[in-house]
Amino acid sequence: MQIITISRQTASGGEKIAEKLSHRLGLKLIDRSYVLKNWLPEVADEHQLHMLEQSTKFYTKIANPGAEKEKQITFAEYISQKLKKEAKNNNLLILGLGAQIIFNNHPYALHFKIVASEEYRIKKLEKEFGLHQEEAARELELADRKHRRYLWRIYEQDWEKTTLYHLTLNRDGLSLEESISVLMNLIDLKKANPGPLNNNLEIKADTKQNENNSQRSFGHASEKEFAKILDMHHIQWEYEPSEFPLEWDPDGNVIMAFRPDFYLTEHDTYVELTTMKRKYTTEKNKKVRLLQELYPHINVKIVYKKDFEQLAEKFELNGGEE
Amino acid sequence: METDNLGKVIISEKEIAARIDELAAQLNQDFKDQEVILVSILKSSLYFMTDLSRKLKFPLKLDFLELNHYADQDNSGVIRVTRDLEFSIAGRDVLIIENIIRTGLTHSYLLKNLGARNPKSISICTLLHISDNKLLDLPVHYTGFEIEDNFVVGYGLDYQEKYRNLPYIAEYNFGE
Repeated sequence: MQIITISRQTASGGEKIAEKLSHRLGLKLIDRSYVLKNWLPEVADEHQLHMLEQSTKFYTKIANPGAEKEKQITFAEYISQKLKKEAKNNNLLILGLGAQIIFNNHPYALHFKIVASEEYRIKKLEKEFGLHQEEAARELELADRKHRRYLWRIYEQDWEKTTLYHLTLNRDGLSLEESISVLMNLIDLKKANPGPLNNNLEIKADTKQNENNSQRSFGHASEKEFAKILDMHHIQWEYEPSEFPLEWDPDGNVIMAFRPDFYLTEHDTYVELTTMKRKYTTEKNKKVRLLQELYPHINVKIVYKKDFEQLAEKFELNGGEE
Repeated sequence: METDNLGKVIISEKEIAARIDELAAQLNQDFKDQEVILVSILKSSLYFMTDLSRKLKFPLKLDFLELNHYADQDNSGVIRVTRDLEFSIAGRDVLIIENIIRTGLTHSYLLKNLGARNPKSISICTLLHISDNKLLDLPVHYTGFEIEDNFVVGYGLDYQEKYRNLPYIAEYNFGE
C-alpha cells in the first residue's frame, strides 16, 4: 500500500498540505491527534494521555507494564506497530510521529519535509494566533525542539538530516497549491518506479550500465557512433541482446539466424545498422523480411548507409565505412 | 541567396498554405473551446507556427522550445534544452508544432522531456513526415505532408543555417 510521510517545521503550513493532499489522493490521514484520540486510549489512562500530549519523553515509557518482560513495549513502539499494521490495509498519509524512520526503507513510501524561514513562520503565527513577534519566535523555538527531541529520543535520528526525505520543500517561495502540485507530481512519478529511499543498488546498477556502454567493444565503428547518437537522445539500448533463428535443416539445426545490432528497450524495437551501399544489402533485407514473417510481433528497423550518414553528419560524428 | 544545390521544389508556397488551412480546420474542430499551449520547436517550425496559429480559433498560448546537441570532448554528446518553455504545462493540453519528423529520435526525447512535466495531453502536429523507414514509431496526430526520405530545405528547414526563409520546400542536392 502507498505511504506518504510528511514531517514539518511548526508554522510552515505542513498540516494544511497534509490535509489537502490526503483529500486529493484519497489517503487516510494519521497525525498525533488521531493517535491520541483513537489508538493510545487502548493502552494509556487519562493521566498518561495527558503526559503523552505534553512530553516527548513519556513516549519512551512502557505502555504495558503488566505484560511479560519480553513482551513489554514503549508507547512509541506501540504507535509504530499500529502504523505498520494500518499500512498493510490502507493507503496512508502520516504527519509526524517519526513515520519517516518507521517506513524509511519501505518500497512504497515517500518522505517529504516541509520547511520555511523563521520570518515566514513568525509571520504566520502572528497572523493566525495574534502572537507578538517575540512570543512567536519563542513558540517556534520550543516546538522545533520538541520535534527534534522526539526523533532523537526514540530513534536516535537527527530530525534536520535532509537524507531522511525524498524531498524538502521550502514554503518561502511556494504557494500551497504549488507545493501540493510538486508533491503530487513526484508521487505520480514514483508510482511507476517504486523503491525504498536508501536503495543504493539501483544507483550502482545504472552506473555499471553506463560504464559498460562507454567501454563496450562494437563489431563496427559505425555501431559505436550509432550508440552515441542513442545516448545523446537519452534512449536506452542493448547491444545485440537476441538472436533469432531463421532457417533450419531437416534435422532441426539452425542454419541461418539474425542478431540485430541494437534493441531499444523503451520502444521495444530492434535496429539493424548497415553502412553498405543499399544495392549490397540484399542479404540483410532478406533476413529482416524473414524475421518479420517468422516473428510478426517483433519490431525491427534497418538504418541504411544514407540514413546513418545523415544522422552522423547532423550530430557531427564520424560516420564509419563498412 | 545561394541556390546552387537546390533541387526541385516538392511543395510549393500555395500547397503549404492550402494544407495549413486544412490542418487548422481539423485542429479547430478537435480542440474546440479547449485552452491549448502551442509549443514550437525552434528554429525550424517558426514559419509553420506563425502561419498555422493565426488560423486557429480556440484559446491558446504560444511557447517555444529550443533543443541543441552538445558534443563532449570524447565526441559523445547529449541533446539538451537550450531555451525552455515560458509556461508551466502541468495539467494543460499541449500541441507540439514540428516542421519535420524524420527518425523519431528528437521526437522521443521531446515526449520524454515534456511528458515528465505532467501535461494533461500532448499532441504532435508536424508539417512534414517521413514515415518510410522511420527509426522510432511514435504517435503523430496531425501531419501536413508525407514525403520521401530525401534531404529537404526551406520554410524553416536549413542546410547549415541556409535556406530557412525559402517560402517553399525543395530538395537539397549534396552534389554526389
